[in-house]
Amino acid sequence: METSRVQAFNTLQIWFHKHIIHFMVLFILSGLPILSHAFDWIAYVFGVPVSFFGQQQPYEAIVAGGVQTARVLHRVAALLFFLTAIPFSLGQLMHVREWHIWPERYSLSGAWDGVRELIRCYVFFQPPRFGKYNIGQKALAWFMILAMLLLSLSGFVLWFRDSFSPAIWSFSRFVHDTVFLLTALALIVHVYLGTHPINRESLRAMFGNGEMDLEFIRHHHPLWYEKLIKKGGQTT
Amino acid sequence: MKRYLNCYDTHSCVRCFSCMTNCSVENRVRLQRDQHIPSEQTANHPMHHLNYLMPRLKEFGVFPKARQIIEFHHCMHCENHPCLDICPAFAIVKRPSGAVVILEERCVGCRSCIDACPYDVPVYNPETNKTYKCILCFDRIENGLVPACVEACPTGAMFSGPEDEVLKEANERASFYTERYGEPYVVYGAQRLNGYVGRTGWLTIVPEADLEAYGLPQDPVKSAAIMRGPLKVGGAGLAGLTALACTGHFLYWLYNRKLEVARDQEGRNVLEQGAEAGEGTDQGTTSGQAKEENRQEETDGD
Repeated sequence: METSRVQAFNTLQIWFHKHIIHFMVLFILSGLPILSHAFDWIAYVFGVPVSFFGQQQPYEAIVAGGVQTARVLHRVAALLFFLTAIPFSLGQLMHVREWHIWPERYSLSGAWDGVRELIRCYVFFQPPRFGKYNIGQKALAWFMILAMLLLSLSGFVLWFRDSFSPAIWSFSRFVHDTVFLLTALALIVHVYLGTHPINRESLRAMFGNGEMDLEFIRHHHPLWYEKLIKKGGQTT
Repeated sequence: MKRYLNCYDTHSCVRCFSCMTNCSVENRVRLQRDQHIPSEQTANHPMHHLNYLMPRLKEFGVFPKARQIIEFHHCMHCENHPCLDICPAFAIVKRPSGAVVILEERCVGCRSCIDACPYDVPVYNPETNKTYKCILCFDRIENGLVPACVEACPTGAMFSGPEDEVLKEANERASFYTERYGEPYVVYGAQRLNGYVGRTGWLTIVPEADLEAYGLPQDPVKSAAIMRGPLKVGGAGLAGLTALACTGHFLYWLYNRKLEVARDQEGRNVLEQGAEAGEGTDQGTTSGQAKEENRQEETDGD
């Protein structure tokens, strides 16, 4: 029997999501040696190929070369991130009313219901009444939007710090570090839940052609299913 | 080598700036020595980043009670060296004398040291993409000479030497000024200032009331930099806890999944057994009917 398919993610979203994974890996690998001496070994790995072009150097000098390489890579990642984030953001803003990250209901009881459904799904493993995204995903999406804005702004100040006062650099550095650490926590949870077997269908859609089975949506995202049925014509 | 201290006496200083001139000259000679840059070339360029001692003229009060103070701005060679700790490139080292030194060849120009320094000392030069600050003439003192600034001072307002000798002299001067002028003088940096900088390797004899005016805060900190330590430890701890929570949740899910699969299997087994039992009953009925039919056939045949 042929089942209906729904376009859960469009090409732009799939493209941006794939690229942001590359950028995040590059951002994290190149940022950690600047953040803490606990990650000097990453700077060393960056520094070894660079040191081939010079004289034999002690460990500290190789790390210094690696830190410089990491700083360059961090900026390259930032540039690529901006180049991809701009078309993605514009594409998303064009459909701002259709975003699924708005609350299902604008009330405290609505939020509580969302949390209850989250517990039902991930603690009792029973079919929840989710929309396209659950309340945790919505919170994460809004956090990520805010975090990316703060990281971009503070990163911009740190990159072009000559145009700003030392007090602003210092504050920006603090913001950059703090938001990164919070983002790292959010990413651990996102990667875990995103690759969890419960969400296999969504993972396949995000890394495949973006399509999901309507029957799966009916069982796992009933609120979204109801919207789709009401709207009609979106299934492929 | 014992801890080496430099001391500046604000009271004996006549503001001739010989110390600053000699410091700048010494740094140009170093360029000639270390980088083979001819002296005529170094003399022709201002090279502001090589002036490790900078006078900052400040005015306080309103006429006729206005007064000027010249803040002597330089590296304090902090005992706890926050600049060294924050530098990601191992470009700042502490010499056995206590001198905190930026190694130019390793500096990557990230300016982290500027973010950490509570005295706003390091100077960044965009032409070289390096940061500079006083090195306490470690090359001179490790070879038995005094720092260039001390050598140039004509009034004895600057003096240096092993820790015990300098502390003794500085404390004696502070006590003398206190007694003579009737206001308390202190030796800034001789005592531990706070946990961020500790003591300083560059002492200053100064009226206690003028500490802030001379750019010598009683609690020198950089709030944003001081927060980095707890932030990193807290962040690492939270990341570990989050990863642990995810692992725990996965194991919990796996346990529940196994139970569910086992329940499903049990249910299937019950169904299958039920089906088999039902089939057995059906077969019994069929054979009974067959027997009945056979009996009827036999009767008919008879």
